[in-house]
Amino acid sequence: MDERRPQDLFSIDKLDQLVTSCMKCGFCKAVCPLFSGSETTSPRAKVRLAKAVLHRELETTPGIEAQMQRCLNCRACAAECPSGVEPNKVALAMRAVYAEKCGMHPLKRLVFRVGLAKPRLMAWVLKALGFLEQVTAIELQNNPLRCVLPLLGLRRDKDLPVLGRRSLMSRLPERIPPLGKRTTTVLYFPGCAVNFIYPEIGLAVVSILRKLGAEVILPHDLVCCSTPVFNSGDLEGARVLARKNVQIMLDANAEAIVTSCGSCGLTIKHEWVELLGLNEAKPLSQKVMDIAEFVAQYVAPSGLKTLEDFGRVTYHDSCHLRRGMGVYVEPRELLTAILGDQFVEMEQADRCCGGGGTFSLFHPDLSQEVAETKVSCILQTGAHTIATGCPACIMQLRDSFVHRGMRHNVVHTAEIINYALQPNV
Amino acid sequence: MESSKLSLSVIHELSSIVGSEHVLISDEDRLSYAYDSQRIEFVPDAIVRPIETDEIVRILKLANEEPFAVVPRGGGTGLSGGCVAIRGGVVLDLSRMNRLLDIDLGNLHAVCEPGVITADLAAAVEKEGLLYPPDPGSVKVSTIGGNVAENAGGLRAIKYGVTRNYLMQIRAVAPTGEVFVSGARTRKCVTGYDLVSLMCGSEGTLGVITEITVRLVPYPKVRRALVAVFDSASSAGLAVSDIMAAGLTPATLEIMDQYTIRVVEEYAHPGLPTDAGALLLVEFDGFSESAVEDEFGVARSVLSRNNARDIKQACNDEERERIWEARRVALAALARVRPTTILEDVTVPLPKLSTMIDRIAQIAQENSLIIGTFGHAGDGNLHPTILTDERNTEEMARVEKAINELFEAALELGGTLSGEHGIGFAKAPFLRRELGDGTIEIMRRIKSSIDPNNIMNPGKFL
Repeated sequence: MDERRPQDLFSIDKLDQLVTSCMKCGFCKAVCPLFSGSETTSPRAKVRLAKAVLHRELETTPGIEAQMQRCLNCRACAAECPSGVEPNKVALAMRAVYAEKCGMHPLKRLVFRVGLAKPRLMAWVLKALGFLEQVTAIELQNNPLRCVLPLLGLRRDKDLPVLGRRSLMSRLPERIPPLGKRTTTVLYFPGCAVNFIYPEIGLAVVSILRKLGAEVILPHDLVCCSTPVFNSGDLEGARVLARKNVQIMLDANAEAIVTSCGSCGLTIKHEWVELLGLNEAKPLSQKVMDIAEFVAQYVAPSGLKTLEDFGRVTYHDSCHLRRGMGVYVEPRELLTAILGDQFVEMEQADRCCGGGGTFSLFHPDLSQEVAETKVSCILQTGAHTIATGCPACIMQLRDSFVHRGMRHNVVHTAEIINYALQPNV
Repeated sequence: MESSKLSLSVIHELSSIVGSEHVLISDEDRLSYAYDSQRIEFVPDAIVRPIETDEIVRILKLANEEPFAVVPRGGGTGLSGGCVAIRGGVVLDLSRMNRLLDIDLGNLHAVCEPGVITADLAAAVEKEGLLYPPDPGSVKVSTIGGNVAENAGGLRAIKYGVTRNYLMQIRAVAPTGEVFVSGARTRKCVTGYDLVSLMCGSEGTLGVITEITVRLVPYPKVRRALVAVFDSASSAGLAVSDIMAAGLTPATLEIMDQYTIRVVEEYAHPGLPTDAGALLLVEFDGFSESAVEDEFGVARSVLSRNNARDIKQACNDEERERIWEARRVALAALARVRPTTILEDVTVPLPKLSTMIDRIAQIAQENSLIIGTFGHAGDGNLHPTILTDERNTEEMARVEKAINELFEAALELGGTLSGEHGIGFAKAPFLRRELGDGTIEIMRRIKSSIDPNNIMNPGKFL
């Protein structure tokens, strides 16, 4: 029984071990952004309900599935758990059970199995959607065409990212020389959001790496890191994507792998090996680092120009960057070096923004309830610029401000670093 | 899982009282409310989540008419099954009643509803320079209502006392539906029976508390902590009663035995001496540097006289924080050793502390079990923590036997079954042994006169 089937996240024994280890202390309730006050929505209830399914006390009911889908995978419960249970992973394991039993949302299936594996096809689809966005001018909040958005399950005032822009991959060659003398070779894994939606973040990261003397490898065949796919319970689909990436990245044989998305970074660092069981990815997990980590390793604070005209800036911890990759000191040190006392901490900086990847699309109201706490913590700081290390958080925070009729500036930490970084020549 | 035994008409009636979205009857909901932090579960027939006192009045009247059992619940973090519906019925989830109504800086009190999270109350009064001292281990998730019903303790009890010592006034609904108030928002109050004290620690068997006024104290300005290293747990135990005999009042006085030290060091690497037999973690607080320093000096000499091998004093806040971090992670470190963790709560008079520690070690050995012991040494309150696997029935039989022996030992030494976790149903079978027939009879009469139909949390205590 210890062997797990490919469609399972854990073997039955391992899952049983996890759910048995829960002593139901409830400490997870203090940190779960989606705990509503009703016990059923708590992380420990997820563990208990998973145990009920495993021990056949309850059938795999839609009610249980709803609770398992109600998780941002922000890892706050796992960090708080005295017994090391990781309720978020129990929920993921249960999603895999449901995906196998009931099948996935057809749209998810189409995107995961076809779209993400074929980036060029994806680019064309996004171009077509982008064209549609342009001719309809749907980004305008007062556009009457917005009445179709609720039919698609989106909020009418949803901040729609500009789709169909020239992707990062199509703007840059596969090998980019350093500025000045070459000191190292770095493979940059931009991830889907940066590649297709926010290429400016990728340009900033590549610019930083070049200034630091790195030759940048940007393999155009890289595909989605697989985070949204295994988060939805499709482990086999996730493995297809991960294997493809692993092969390309091993072949490139760079000295370091740099990411600018907390979720991509976490997935390369831990999940390919730990969740998907791809042992061949182990060498990559030792090489991967977030761009802020990389900069902190190579640059003394004196190498950073102080930016005085930036205004007050606060920092939001991406859950996967902080609790997944363990990166939270470096971005703050760099921002402090650059901005001095214009950098201010917000309360609960490490609390989830409510994005959770596809979570915000499938649970728009809950997602905005979680964002409410984040927005009020940001407002207390008086900062008008929010830096963060993950494009998914950027999308969610921008949408949350639009939803509240506010104009705040949400940027990637790398964009600020790039302004401030002098070339190493 | 058995289906709900409540009739549709009762469900309908409850829905008309609190709104249908606040009556939970699905299997998923009922299973999620079947537990607290102890092991044994009972599935309730429904969960009702009121927000007003008036709704509770109507629910309790309905419960008497039908009848069905009503089990009040706060954060569900109790360790004795106090909020578990062992005879089915309705779990009354009070977490929606979570308004902090007032903080009075002139009279040093706060008024809140029962569903306020203890740590939220503590944080709110701390902003005003005040302290709400009771800090049970689950402070971040437990509710004030639950703390009152269980008379929760914590790490500061040795100097500041437990929840009971901070209650000024409560408002509650009696099991038969009458709203009553007891106590006053004054420093002193001797009018009538002390129903505040009766309700405190009654574990939801005598009614539903709907408003609580707690006393606050000024936040201490100075804190000093130290760790004393001993070769044996029993010599650490002797040092504890000597500290108290020397006229000192530490704010906190905690103990960790050898097994706990080892797992804490493995888990969090705080730099504990793993060859030590026991550690005492001591903190003094107060309002002036000199007073705290004086107590500290006396404590050091008492500890040395009691053969403390080493005394490490925290020189700054960071070092102090590191000492308490080692204590805070004790449960987590122990919980990771085996799948199932059972936290006990025996408490003995201080001079018997070292004997009790020896007895725990002996019981662990005789039953071939792993028991890590830590706890509030200054209160004589130990947490022998049994590390086991609930799937192993043979081992669980030994666990039951060991728990029985722990209780026997505590009572033999003039102690009590529970210092702060309560009786619930988990320890109810042992209660008569501690209290005797006469006391049980008085308790029965109180219960039956206040709750004639036995609808409030039946099966607890008695």
